[in-house]
Amino acid sequence: MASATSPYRFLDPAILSKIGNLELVARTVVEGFISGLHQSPYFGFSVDFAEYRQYMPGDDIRRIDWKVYARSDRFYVKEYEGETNTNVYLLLDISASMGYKSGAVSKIEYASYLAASLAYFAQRQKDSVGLVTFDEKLVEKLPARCKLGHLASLLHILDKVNPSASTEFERPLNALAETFRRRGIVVLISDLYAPLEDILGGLRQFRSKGNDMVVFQILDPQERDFRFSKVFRMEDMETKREVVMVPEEVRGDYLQRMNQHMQAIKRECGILGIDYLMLHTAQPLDHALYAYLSTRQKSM
Amino acid sequence: MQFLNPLLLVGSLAVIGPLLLHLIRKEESKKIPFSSLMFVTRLPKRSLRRQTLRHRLLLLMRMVALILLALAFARPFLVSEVAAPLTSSSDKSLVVLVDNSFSTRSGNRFERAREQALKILDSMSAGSTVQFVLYSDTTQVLNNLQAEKSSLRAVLQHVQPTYRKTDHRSALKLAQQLLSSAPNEQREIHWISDFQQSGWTDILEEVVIGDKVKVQPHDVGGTEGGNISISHSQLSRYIEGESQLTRISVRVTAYDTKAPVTARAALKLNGRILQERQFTLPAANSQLIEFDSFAVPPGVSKGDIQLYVSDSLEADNVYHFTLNSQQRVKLLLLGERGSRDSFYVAKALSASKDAPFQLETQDVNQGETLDLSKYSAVLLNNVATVPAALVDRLQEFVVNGGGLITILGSRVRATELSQRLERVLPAKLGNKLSTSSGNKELFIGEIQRQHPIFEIFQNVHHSYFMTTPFYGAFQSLPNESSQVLARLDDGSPLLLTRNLGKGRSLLFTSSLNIEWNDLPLKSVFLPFLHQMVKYSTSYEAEQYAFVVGEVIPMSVLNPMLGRALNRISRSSSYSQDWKVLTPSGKAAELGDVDLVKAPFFSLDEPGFYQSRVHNFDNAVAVNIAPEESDLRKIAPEKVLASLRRVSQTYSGTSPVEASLDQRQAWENKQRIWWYLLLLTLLVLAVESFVSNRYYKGVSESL
Repeated sequence: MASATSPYRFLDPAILSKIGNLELVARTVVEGFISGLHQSPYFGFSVDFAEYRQYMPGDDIRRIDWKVYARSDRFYVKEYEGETNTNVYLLLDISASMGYKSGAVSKIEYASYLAASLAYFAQRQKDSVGLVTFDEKLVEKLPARCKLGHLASLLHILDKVNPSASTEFERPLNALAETFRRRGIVVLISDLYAPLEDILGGLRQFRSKGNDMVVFQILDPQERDFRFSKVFRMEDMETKREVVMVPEEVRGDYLQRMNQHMQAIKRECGILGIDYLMLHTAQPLDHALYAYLSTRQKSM
Repeated sequence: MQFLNPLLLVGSLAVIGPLLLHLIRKEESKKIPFSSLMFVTRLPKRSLRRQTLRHRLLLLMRMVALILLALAFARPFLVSEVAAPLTSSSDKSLVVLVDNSFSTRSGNRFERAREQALKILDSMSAGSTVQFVLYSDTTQVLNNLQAEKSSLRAVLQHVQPTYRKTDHRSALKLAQQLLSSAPNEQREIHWISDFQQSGWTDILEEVVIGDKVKVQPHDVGGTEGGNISISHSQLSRYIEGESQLTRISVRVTAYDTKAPVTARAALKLNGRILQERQFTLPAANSQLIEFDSFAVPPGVSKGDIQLYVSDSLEADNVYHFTLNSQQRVKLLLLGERGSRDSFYVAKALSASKDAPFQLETQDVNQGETLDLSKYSAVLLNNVATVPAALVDRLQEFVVNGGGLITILGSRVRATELSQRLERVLPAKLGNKLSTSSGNKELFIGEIQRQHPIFEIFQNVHHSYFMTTPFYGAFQSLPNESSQVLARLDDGSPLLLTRNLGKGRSLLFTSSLNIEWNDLPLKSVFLPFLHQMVKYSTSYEAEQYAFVVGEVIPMSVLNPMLGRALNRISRSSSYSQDWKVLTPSGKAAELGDVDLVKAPFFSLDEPGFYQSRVHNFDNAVAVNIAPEESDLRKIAPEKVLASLRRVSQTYSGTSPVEASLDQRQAWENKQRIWWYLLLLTLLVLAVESFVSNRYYKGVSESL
């Protein structure tokens, strides 16, 4: 958990989980993220002038418009906005495995925060943003729009997601890809608990149509580290299959297979030109936003 | 291996606890949902088995810890190791005898004895065992066989000297007895005493000590100078006119004094000085001091003879006594009018003015008009028969607690008398035995020396009785409830007794004049007749003083207490706590239940023990034993030389035969429980480590 003095304190998932309003979560994340970008290399990614704003402490003095100061004897900074409108599609895996949590935040909650933050961020950039939730089929589909009130619809969908079914990638994503008429940025948020071929089958279709893709693999720390130590019966949340678990005996094997799976995805994503980022639910959301920005910059 | 507390091994059953817990927890393994089992589908079976084994290891460690704990509490000791370490050269078994008799109050003798005992304790090796015994005329073993010096030191700091006399012999015998089962081969008796001569008498049975037992005397006797005390007292009471008078004389003895001592003696009664005497006591000598007769007020009076001298022991400078203004025993002697048959009997019963009896003589035929209830005993002496009107009254008299002594003689009409007094006499009378027709005379053939009547004659040569010729007597057939106390040498009963109601009836089948025997002419006649009367009236002589160490019946402490206890024992529902105030002012609580079981009281201090029961106050005087005032010493070497040494082989007592003390000593020496406890802690530590590793992170992961 980030400390109270951390610049990312508003991005800590555990803190965000205590904010009930998803829009507020998204705004908190994005505004906090942007205020932290002062020293970042991403400064000034948009060149279109939008408006003047009164200088606030913390603003870079290089952004002060000195001409205005000469005229008005007041400090103003220039604000810019994106040059183009890009379609951003958020594909959210809402299969049962996403409901797992070992800490304060479940994977689906984390994924929702991430999706909401990205949506808010995109809208702020005047991008059209759409949302698709899926498990073994397409569950909800909200086309990409930029109009006012669209974000509220998107957040509403995110609010009511209920992970319950098993995961499938190829079939629902292929079906979805067929409906995309305009290229854009496709953001897949999932734990990627599916056979590699199934996952890649879904991704290839988008990529082949010229979309930029970002894959966020959301994992719980326990899934990544497997720190169980007591014998118990483990139940698969999707298949409901049970196995008696002897953690310390199984852990090595589990981690090896898990890493193999993740490495394979990373490798295949690299081959396909897809940005891949693994996140765990205790991690601040800014990592995801950086990754998104990076992808968006490429699409400029 | 043996155990000091084998019963505590039952505690090892506690292993059932972890066993049950393991079984229960095994069944309730939790079901935990997990996002996907796609990476954990293959479960190696061996891991489950290993896990089970680890759990069994944990279970085993927990069970072992509990068993070790139970073993530790059972205090085990090894049999095979018992002999070896206990027979090591430096380890000894000691018995330390510490004299705490009255004489050790002289100077700082007892303090020196205590210091000596502590010195011995400090010099003991770690494996040695010791038992401390306080002794005077009684012994008190202070501790079990153990070597815990700190606790022994505390015990020794609190012991105090007593007022009792010394008995070295019993102490040495006890020491030998204690050492006979001691665990170490080297055995020593440390004898700390002032070696008072009066505490050792050669004529008693010899003391047997094992030949390997070393007896080490430690003399704490001092040179405090001589001691003066009242060594003897003589108190007589008599009636002169209407008043009861008492005369007392005491013998004051100077022990080991180097010069004559002039001092003063005072007679006090109830705290008031009545008379004083000045006297000069020659060096190491004694002197009789007599006081004039004095009247005793009604009730119980407390008297003292106080010597005003300066010596090393104060408590023996005073002689305490009590006086009770009791009435003398009234006797009625019934005989034939005008006869001189009762001459000897009457003379014997009123021989001196301080005799305890008051005799009244009457004609038997006038007896029917007499009030018998004011007499304690009636003597029928050589009467032909008794008037019919007197028969029932005599029976009633005896049943109510009176004494009847029937003495036969030549006037007796045996058949008639026997018939009339059939319900009272101890025997049915037969024909007269007569030796006057040339038959050889009879002698007393057998007397019951243990009976109270003959008890005082135990040290009298039997010839005093046995050489008395009897020329006449009546044959008699004893009743079933009768007891024959003396027989003539032909087997015919001479003296018989019978209890009837609360009273007693005695029958002497010969005469008590010189007509049929010479007994009245013998020196034993007077005490014999007195004993008969005392026995028939259940007479108890007044005892003016007791000696420290005596154990007296509660009825002596307070006659009302004796009666109350009789009532308690009959009803078993009467409950009351009695209080007796000791001379030092402490209240001795006496529960009636305990008193009924053992109605005796031990006198441990000089002075007056006071008691009040049913508003009747009584006091009992207690004095130091006179011989204890003599501080002269006996050389301990002389005592040691008189000990009989017997061969005593040490074979190492087997634990089975060993006493609890020995077992404790062995166990104390080995201290296996300590190692077991450490081992238990070690096992528990390992168990904690292993189980922590097992369950680490469980709470956070689940």
